[in-house]
Amino acid sequence: MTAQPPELEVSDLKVSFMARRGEVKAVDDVSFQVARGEIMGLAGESGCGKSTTGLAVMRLIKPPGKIKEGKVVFEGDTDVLSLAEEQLRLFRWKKVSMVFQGAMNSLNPVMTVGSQIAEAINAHERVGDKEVQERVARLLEQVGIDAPRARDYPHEFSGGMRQRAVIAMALALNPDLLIADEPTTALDVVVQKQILDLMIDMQRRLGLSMIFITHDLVALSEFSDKVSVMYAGRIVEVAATRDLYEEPLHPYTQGLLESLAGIATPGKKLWSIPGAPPDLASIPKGCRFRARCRYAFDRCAVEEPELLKVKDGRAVACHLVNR
Amino acid sequence: MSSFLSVKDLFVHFPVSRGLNVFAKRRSVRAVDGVSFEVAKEETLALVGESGSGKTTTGRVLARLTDPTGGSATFEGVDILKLRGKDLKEYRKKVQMIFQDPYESLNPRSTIVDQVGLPLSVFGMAKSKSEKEEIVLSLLGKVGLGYADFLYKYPHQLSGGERQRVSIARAIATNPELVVADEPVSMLDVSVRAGVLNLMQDLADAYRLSYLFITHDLSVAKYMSRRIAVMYLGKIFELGPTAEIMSKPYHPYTRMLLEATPKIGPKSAGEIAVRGEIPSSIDIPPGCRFHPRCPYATDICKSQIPPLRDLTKVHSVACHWAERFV
Amino acid sequence: MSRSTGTPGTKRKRELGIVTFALDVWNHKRGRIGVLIVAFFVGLALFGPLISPYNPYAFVARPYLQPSVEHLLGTDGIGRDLLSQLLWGSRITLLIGFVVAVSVIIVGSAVGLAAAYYGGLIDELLMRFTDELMVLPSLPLMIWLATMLGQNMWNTILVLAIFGWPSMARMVRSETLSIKNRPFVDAARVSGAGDLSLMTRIILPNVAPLIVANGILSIIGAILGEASLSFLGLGDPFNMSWGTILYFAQIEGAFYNNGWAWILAPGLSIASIGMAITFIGTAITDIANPRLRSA
Repeated sequence: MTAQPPELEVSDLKVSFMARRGEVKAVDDVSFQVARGEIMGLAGESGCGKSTTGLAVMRLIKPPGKIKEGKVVFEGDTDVLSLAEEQLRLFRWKKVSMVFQGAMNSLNPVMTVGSQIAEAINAHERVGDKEVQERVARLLEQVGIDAPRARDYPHEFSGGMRQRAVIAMALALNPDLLIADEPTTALDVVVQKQILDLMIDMQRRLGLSMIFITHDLVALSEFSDKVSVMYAGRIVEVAATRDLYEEPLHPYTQGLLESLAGIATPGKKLWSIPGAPPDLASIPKGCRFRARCRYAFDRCAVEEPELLKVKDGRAVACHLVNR
Repeated sequence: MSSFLSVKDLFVHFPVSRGLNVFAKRRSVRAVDGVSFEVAKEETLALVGESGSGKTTTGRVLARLTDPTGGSATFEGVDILKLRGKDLKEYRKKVQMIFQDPYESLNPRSTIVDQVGLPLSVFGMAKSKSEKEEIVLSLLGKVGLGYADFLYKYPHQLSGGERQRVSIARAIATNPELVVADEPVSMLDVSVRAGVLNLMQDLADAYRLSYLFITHDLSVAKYMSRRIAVMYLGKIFELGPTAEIMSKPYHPYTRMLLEATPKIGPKSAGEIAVRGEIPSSIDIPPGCRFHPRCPYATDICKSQIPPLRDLTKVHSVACHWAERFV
Repeated sequence: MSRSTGTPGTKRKRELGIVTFALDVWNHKRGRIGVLIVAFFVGLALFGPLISPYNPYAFVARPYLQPSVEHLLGTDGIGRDLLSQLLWGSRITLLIGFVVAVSVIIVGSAVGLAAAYYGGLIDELLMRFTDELMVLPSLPLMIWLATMLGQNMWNTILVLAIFGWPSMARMVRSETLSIKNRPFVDAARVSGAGDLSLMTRIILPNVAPLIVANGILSIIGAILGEASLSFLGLGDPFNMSWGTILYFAQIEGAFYNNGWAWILAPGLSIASIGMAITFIGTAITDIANPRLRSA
């Protein structure tokens, strides 16, 4: 039990988007903590709000989206949501940085990779040219790219190398926390493993904390320290990785794990969760997973379950578990 | 044994533009570079590989969407690469395809009934509009969407899983014997995949379908298929029964693939370190194309292309040193 | 199993894209203005001649009369009623604009679709021909053709259409190229659809929005083109369009004789309908974008 405040503490976060059909509650009361040097997986399917959560932590939500409520506290003393413009600029990239979804395909095709990383440094710090070059070289080596390749253009890099370059950019100012949104989704499985290994390596060597946003529950199992599972804008279960996979408590997590081909028992059919997630503009009363849950009972239709602690490091939002 | 589907020495090379440089060497993308395999009736063969492996292109050749540069393919004894006109149409009745992207494989401007009903119209299987509606409704029922509301909906009103089911309904409309499935679940949400995979299994059992199941995900291949062909840069590196390949892979690439595939549960005993990345299909390494990444590469690997040879009656490997790993 | 969570649709009710599209244009600020103006002129074209007080070609009063109760727009330099000319002229102008647009749509789409779909030699031939037409200086050639063929409304239409279809063809070709490689086209091919069916029943409906949008815009081109030709004296003197009215205004020296209505009436009419169609075009572009975003 450390006396240090957690790297990041998010409380009661609510983010909504105003759309034609109403208010879409993308993130609806989300709270979690990331300890120092911890890799937390934020898992869920498309539309569950995991990417929006990541963007909210960086205060990158743009209209028609809006952070309606909540607190984001960094290292116990920085209230991210109330930072002034100038302080926010110092916060972003220096304390917390992000690898965006599809970033590897968004590199500027007419600038060398090295100059793009240099740009990230120069945008936040006043540094002499020579020093910038050195830092770029060191960053590239840190992510497993030979320094002379800084002079190449993105199209001369392979997919995996581009992703490494993007990670190098995110690490340019030595942040304490890295938010990675689906960093390996578009990569071949062998490259994916290499990137995941790289990220674990960085966690070890640099003491980096990470929020790893993904839909790939299986990849998380080999990689994260703890996992928060999101469904329809809320966190439904939090647990240390091994606990989650060995003994999932929330019916959604159970259903997800049982439907993965990777752990199918030969001869037995995969379990498939019936139905589909609710429309975030008209969330039903009670537990939002109720319509698809095989254990739903009367309380589930009336009262939305709270994310309650089950034991140290484990929490579930389910009436069945938290009786 | 009269083979169901037999592919021999298939080559598909796409020329690459030289731009303005008339003196530049003619280069091509060697998407499929000498592939041979067979599929038996009512069997599912998984074509597994990463990007650039040529698995999708192979599937497209069999669906007669892409023309090969060389080689042959026969279906029930007929040379399918030479089919034209009416004969080609007959072939399409028996061999259908499902595509990867549920959002792009349906026509955004056409109703579900018209799209699933297209093969019915083409092959004269429905004489009137109401008959078409009836048949389409029953097809939708077979894929779990048997509600009249679906008939006149447009694709944008359906979820990803529903769209993929519609594509499956369209594919089985002609009672095909073989369905080429190109990554049918990789763009679907995780919780939706199981349903679609189960559906495909059920349909295969009920209608005696064979699948050529193209995927990059070894776990899905393991679940769906009885035999696997592992492809790399246009060639097959290993071909054999799924159970055997997954538990006792011989080719170093297959082993690397297995090592890299995430799995829940106890970690495998560090089979083989993952190394390097797939080179471009334009600049394929000489000899065994895997040699730059293979920890066991020797001189012969750098200069001679290993043929796909039988290690056992059912298991073939394309590696000079395959016996060493047995 | 899983019921659709999308918008419910009963068996018979179809969501007509064109209806929602039309409503979107109506709800767009400038779109609505454009639609109203165009509707006004279409109304004029359809019913105007019926309420026209005089025969536009007849001498009915003294020349250069100022607007009055008997002659709401006054008379021209020859003594013909201007309002009647405008009303009858609207029919000619809009008819020419519309027929040219339809011809441009039909020919341009057919050429563009075929070129993109078949590719190879057919594409080369069709596009080289199209490019040649585009590159030739249109106005001088139109003048020459008009002179050769004779001054007649149908010849004007022909000439304008000949020079109008190439840009439509280019656009349709480029859109078709991007559509023909989409999986649903492959899927239709695998379902057994033949070339013609693929082009007309699968690809064309997806190119249609672009064709319609540009077809509407090509009406301005046609109207202005016709006005130019007529202004130069190549119009049909027996079927006076607004451009022809301006031609007469110019040669009779309306400007020097205080015939301001003679110039402004047709001029402003051409300008307004041009602006109206541009507004509709703006509305269409604005509507198309959010659609892309939500897709």
